[in-house]
Amino acid sequence: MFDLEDSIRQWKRELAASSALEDGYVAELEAGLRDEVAARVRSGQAEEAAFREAVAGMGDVEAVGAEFHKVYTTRRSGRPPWQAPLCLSPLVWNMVKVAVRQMRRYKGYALIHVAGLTVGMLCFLLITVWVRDELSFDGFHVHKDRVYRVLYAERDGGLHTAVSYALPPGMAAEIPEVEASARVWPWTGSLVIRGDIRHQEDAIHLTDPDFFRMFSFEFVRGTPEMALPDLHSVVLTESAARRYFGDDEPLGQTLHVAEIDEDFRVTGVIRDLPPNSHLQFELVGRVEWLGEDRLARWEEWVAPAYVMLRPGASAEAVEAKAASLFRRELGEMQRMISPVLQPLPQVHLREDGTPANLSRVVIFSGIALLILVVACVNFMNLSTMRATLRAREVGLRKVVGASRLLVAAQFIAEAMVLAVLSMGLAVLGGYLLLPLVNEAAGLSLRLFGDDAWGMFAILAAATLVTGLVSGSYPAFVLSAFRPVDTLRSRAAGGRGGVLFRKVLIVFQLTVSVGLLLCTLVVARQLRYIQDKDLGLNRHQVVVLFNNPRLNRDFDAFKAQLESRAGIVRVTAASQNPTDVGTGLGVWPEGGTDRDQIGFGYCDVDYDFFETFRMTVVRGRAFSRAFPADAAEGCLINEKAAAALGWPDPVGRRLHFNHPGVDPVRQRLRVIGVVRDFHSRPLREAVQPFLFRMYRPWHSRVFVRVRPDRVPEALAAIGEVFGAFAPEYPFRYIFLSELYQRQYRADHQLGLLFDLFSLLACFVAGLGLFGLSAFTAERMTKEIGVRKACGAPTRDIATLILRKYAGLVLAANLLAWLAGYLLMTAWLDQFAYRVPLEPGVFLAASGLMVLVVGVSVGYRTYRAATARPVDALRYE
Amino acid sequence: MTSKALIAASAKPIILSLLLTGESYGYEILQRVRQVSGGRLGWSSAMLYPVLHRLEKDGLIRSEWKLSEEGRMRKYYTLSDAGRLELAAEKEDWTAVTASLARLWGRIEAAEE
Repeated sequence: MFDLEDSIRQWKRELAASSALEDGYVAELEAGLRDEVAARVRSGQAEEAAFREAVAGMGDVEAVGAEFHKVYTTRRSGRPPWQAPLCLSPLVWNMVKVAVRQMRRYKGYALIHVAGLTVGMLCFLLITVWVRDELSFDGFHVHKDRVYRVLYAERDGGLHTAVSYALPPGMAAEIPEVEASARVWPWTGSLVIRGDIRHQEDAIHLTDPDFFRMFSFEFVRGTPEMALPDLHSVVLTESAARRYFGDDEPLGQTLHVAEIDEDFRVTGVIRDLPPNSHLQFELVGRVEWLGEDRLARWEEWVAPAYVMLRPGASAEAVEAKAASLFRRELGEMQRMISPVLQPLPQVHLREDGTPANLSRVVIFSGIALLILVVACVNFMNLSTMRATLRAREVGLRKVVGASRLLVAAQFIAEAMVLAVLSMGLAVLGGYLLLPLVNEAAGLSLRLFGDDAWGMFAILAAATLVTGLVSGSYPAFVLSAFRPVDTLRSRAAGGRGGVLFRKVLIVFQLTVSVGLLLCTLVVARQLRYIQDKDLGLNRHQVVVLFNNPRLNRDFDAFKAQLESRAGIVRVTAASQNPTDVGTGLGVWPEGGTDRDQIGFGYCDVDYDFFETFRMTVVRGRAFSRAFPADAAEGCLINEKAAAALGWPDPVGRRLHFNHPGVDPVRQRLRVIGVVRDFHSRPLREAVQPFLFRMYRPWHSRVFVRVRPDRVPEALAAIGEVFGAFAPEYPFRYIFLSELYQRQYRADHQLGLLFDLFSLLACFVAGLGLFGLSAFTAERMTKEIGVRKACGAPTRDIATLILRKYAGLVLAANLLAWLAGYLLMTAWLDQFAYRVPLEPGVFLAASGLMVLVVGVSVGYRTYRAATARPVDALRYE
Repeated sequence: MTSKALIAASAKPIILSLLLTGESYGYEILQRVRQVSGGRLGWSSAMLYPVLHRLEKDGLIRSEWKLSEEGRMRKYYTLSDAGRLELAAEKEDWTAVTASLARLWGRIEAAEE
């Protein structure tokens, strides 16, 4: 028998089961339904039929619910929360929802998870940005696959970037595969004048006309083909053009280059060079200004040069032909050296012939991956530790029919949600942090750069892999629970899992200690470089750029300057003595040029050794009292005396060869010996060295000032400089600053190590914090019983801490080993370096123990001091 | 059959007009719409109730649960002052639309004759 009330109750239950309808809606629908049934019955229908038709006319429950929802939602799409978005299947949507609920419920753990992953990803992001920038160098040149830098390779593998300038045109003329060649001479610079506008330009390059055919610098005015038609043509970058011409048309205008006193016509303007070009210049002229004989000489190694091969030509074949050409011109004398070709995209990574940049890229890519792995490990650790909390959920899911795969998918989805969230935060962090990193390290990195999609793809892949990796192990462990065990609350977490977790923790700690160790060693080496006695005093020395006017009246300039307050001493030289790039072959009188020894050398003026406070250990320094000094006097260093085998070199004669020096002047007499000093960066050993006097080549003026009167001295220098060379802008720099710049790459390395070891410690600390919280929680009962039996707080703390002691010890030993190997390799590139003392290792471990202490201490203390009654009442 | 868009657009003025004569409830509104349209506007309750809720949320109508003559609880809707104003505006718009259509079609019919 049909019962209307019963049927309506049944119908209401069905409605209530749908999440789409609230009670209020159901009541309203019910009232309407009853009205309609009553009306139908009145019109003669049977009650049962009336009810069925009325219900059918009401429509789909979900659809009605969705309509109601639309009325009240503020969501633009109007999609009710119980429906999955169109792009996701309902199953995946449900997984995402469960993941979000888990995070809401256990906020603390979610925070640790996300913080760890975010920091890991932030490291990864920053390093990726930097690596991509390094790898992108010179990638914008259209012919990058055909352009090569010409290098000289020694038989022992050493590479020289300076090559004979007769070689490239020779190759272009005689080797059919070579399509074009360009020599690129980075000039020291000159004053450039247009009317009243005068600027000291430092980035003037001289090159061959084919330069712009080989390298794709974008022309704003003029064309690459017509860029450098004659000796008096010059091409400018946009910003250089703006300096001299403002908004006027620069093409065809004239610029005066003071250094050589010649006028140049502007024949082209190119866009400013991108920062990821290894060639950096503002003005380019013709290489012929170097002088016919220098360009034609095979013996002199001048500066870099490039060739472009024809499409399809083999670099090896060209190398072989270039080598035979080279040997034909120089004979057997040069059999130790042969020309090699370096592909353009590799030039930046092996800038000075050594793979220094390349190894930095490799080291940092490794660190990026390590930190990301540490973050993943952290995640796995915390997730598996908390497995017991989820065991019941897993059991229930399985009981109602979830397959193992589905349960695993749930946990991977959770990891994925966290990974996506963390990557979002990491990108945000990157935006905020990148300007600071750029500022501190002197870089110009951009987060997405020119290839935004490429970067996006990398980040998406990293997110995916991180989610999968960090989610897979917990998923594997958790999905293996047997429902019957979990529902009986005999929660799992097998022995194997414990061991694996320990391995993970040791790995984490190892990476942290290892990075800390590297940080400390790099910092100590940098400190050492800073404090190292170079054999010359680089402090309070002002460096001025010499110019023809100053050089002509140098004695008067010096006399006037030295009479001013605050000035101690004035001298000049061809090179900065802390970074001498020039060398000579030297042999003792009576020998032949077959006995020549490689010497560093510098042309200096009177008072040079006094200005730099260098010690003359034998003989004397250059002096006006001996007029012959200027023509044939020289000083050598102790190393040179040893190399020549002279116990007392003073008064002895030697020869040197320099293609630019008149052979008559190539014979010198030693008048003194100076104490060894560092004329090269500390990577290199002290070399034999020769000082002679030759004023025309002086490029720098050095002024020692009194430390207590620096501002006064600087004002005086500016004033006297202005009186002697009014058309030149007054610019100066302190020698100590130039010295710093020599180690810019090392300082960058130090900075990055600081940053990343800090972040790695943070991640590891987070992991330990989570671990200790969990351990304390699990041991609550044990602690309670022990305390009730009278165990003092100290014993309880020891009990907990003992769990970590073994792990910390193992991690330290591993880190010491890895750090020792890595840092020995790094320090090896310095001829002068700090020893790897045990103290550094202990300090790194000490720092780690501190981190462990801070992260583990709080929870341990709380657990150990808790009242036993609370502990026992727990569970 | 009338198009979905037209039903949706006309629901508001029709409901407001029905309530102008006094309070009413869901089923009654459905019946009266059917009567007035000569059965041409077939509204379902799934469509009506959400519209009523929206009008109430916008402040055009008010609702109240009351005991009906049959002794059951029913939700009665009445027109609010804002609803009256809104109806006046709607009336103006719809009149303009129907008048234009009438004139257009009048001209067409005149032309056909």
